Formats: sequence, C-alpha cells, structure tokens
Amino acid sequence: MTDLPQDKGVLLLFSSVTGAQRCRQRLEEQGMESLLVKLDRHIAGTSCDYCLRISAADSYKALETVKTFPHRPRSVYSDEETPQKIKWK
Amino acid sequence: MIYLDNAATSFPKPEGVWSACGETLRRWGGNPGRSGHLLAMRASEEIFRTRSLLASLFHTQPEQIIFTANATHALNLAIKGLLHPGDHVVISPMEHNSVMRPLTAAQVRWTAADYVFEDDEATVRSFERAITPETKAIVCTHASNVLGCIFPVEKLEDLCREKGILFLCDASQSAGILPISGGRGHSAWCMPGHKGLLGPQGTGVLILGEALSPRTWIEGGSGTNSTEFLPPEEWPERFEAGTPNTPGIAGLGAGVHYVLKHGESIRKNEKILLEKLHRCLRAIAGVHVYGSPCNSVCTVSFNVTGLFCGEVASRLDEQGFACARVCIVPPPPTAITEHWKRAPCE
Repeated sequence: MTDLPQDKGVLLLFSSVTGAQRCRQRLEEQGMESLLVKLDRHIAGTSCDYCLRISAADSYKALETVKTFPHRPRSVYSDEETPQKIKWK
Repeated sequence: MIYLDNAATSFPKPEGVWSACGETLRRWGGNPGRSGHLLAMRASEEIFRTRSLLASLFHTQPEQIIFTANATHALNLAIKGLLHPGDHVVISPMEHNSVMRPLTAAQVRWTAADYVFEDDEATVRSFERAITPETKAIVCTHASNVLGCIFPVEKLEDLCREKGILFLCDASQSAGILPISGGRGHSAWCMPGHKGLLGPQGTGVLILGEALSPRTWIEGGSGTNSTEFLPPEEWPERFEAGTPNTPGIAGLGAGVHYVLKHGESIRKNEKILLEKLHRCLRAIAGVHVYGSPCNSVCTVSFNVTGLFCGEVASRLDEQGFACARVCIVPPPPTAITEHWKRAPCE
C-alpha cells in the first residue's frame, strides 16, 4: 500500500551504505536501475543516511519489490524539490 | 630470489592488484561511507565491489563479509565476540597462535582433538569424542600452515550443526585455494586477504553465519546512525568501525577477481608443484619431508639431518630461496610454500 504520486521518482533511505548497495544490486537483478546518492541537503535529519534514487517509471515496481528484501529501506521519500515522506508498506 | 614463503604472504601479486591499489590512492581516495561527495561514493563502490566478489567466491551474501586487517584480526573478532570466559572449545592439534593467543586471552578452555592422516572419518570422530555438554564451539584450521594437511571442515561444520555448537574456521591457508561455502548458520570463517586471495597485506575477511550475533569489541565511527553512541545494528557496518583500508580492499577485489577467473588452473598447477616438490625433496639424501602431498595444500615442511631448521632456512636464503623457519618443537622443520604462478619446470 503506497500513496506514491504517479509522476514522481522515489528516494529509498537506508541507514548504511552497504544496505543501499545491496538493495540496488537486488533491484538491478530484477531489471531496475537506481542511483546511490547521499542527499544531506534534501532531507532534514538524515545526514547519515544513503538514498537510492529511482525514476518515476520504476518507482512503483521498486517499492513493491523491496518489501520482499531482507534489508528494507528505513523510509521512503518522493524525489522532488521538497521531498515528502511516503507511506509505502 | 626464488620466493617460497607463500604461506606467509603470496608474492608476487597479479598486476591488477597493485594497479587497483594505486588507482584508488591516485584517483578516488575518499573515505567510503562517510560523505556524499564523488570521491567518497566512488570509494564506497570499490568496497562494495570487493564485498560482492568475495560473496560470490564463498557462496554467501555481501553483508556477511566483514573486512578486517588480517586473519588474526578476524579470528579475534570471532573468538572474543562469540565466546565467553570459561567456555570450552575443541580445537585441532595444529592451531596457529592467531587462534591460541585469543583463546588464552579470552580465558577459553580447550581440548585438542587428533588429526588422523588421510582418514577424515577418524579425525571427525576424534573431534566428536572431545565434545562435552559444556563445549560451545569447534575451532579448527582448514589447512595446517606447517604440514599443509587439510582438515575435513565441512564434516566438522555438520557435526557442530548436529550438536548445536558454533564452528569457527581459520581459513588462512585455504581461502582462495580450496572451495569454501562460508556464512551458513552458526559458522564463522576467518581469512587473510593477502595469501591465497592474492590481495595486499593489511587485508582480511571474516564471514559471519547469518544466525550469529557476536559482540563488538571495536567501536567507533561507521558513517551511519552517527547520533547514537552504540554501534549500528546493520551488518557489516556494525563490525567495521573506523576508516577501512580502501586501497587494500580495492587490491583485494582485483585478487579475488583473478582467483574467480583462474582458480581452477591455479589449483591444478599447485598440485603438480606440490607432488614434484615432495618427490624431488625425498630424493635428496639426508632430507626429511614431513606430511604427504595427498590431501594437502601447497605447503611442504622438511629438514636436513644434523641441521637446525633456522640453519637450513639461512643457507637457502643465501642461495636465493625465501623460506619460512617454522618454530615448533619437535621436530622444527623448514616450510616452503609454492606459488600460484610458478611453472613446474622451475
């Protein structure tokens, strides 16, 4: 269950860089691309988190897929000027 | 110089290893996992690439690969993180000081099982007989650094699973040389990066079984959850406090890549070298060769009648051969370890 806006990409937040890299690796295995970024300036209070940036085209499928992963994102934000926290599970 | 000390560290390394170390130092020397700038992110990618290659080689998951400074560091993490003072373990009779000293420091009691040459079943039975209701783990080398003999670690791991105890393996002489499936259940595998994995010195690996939850004994910056005073729960960051050896890990990645690509031919070549070495040394009058080329990694121990092992090693050194003088008594042999790259005709 998600309130993801249809035209927006998503930022998946992980507490560790390896967690983000593992998630990216698993998404790649399923044909989805993502970009590992550290977006300190975008989201207050997450200066130590790493994000996977996923395009709007893949965002819904990616959110459905990561629910099955052992290392899930800590939280999910919409990828826009002022990112909004998204309910995703 | 003919380098015959590969049980201590492999040399020379494949070209890709030193070029990867150099590239990291020259081009993307950021601190991985600490910042979001390009060089830090690039360094993180190098670390993850090596982690993934190791996971592929050892049939485990990348997050179960913990980078350490060497096998000793990995063994200390495992022994001191999983055992408590007063615990009892069963060990092999051929453990290195990298096992014995941490066990002693951790005040762990041990019983040494027997190794029965060329009889794996008898060896396993000896370990089983040494297990008591108080036993918490089997701690065993995969291959002896002195005689080269290979322990039946898969069977010992099965025995541990059956008995509900931990299995800690010192894979210092086998990682990159013998097949290993690490990271299962309550098993931990410890190994150097700079021997059979062909990486640079200053690298090591601990593979933690997914059912383990060792205590940390090194805490510090991890780049994650920095507002908390406790280490993060996530693996591998939980066990990798402090800035990692990024150039070394990049070089290790190149070494593992080489092993993944050429491992089979390395093993075949080493088997030829091992048998030839045994045969040729045994043909020399007055030379005593210990062990057997069967069921062995490429380490050979020998001595010369009437000479102390240090004298043998010194004389060989003068002749341009680099060997190890092994400090065990009795008998104190000289150990030579053949190399992945040497042609059998040498």
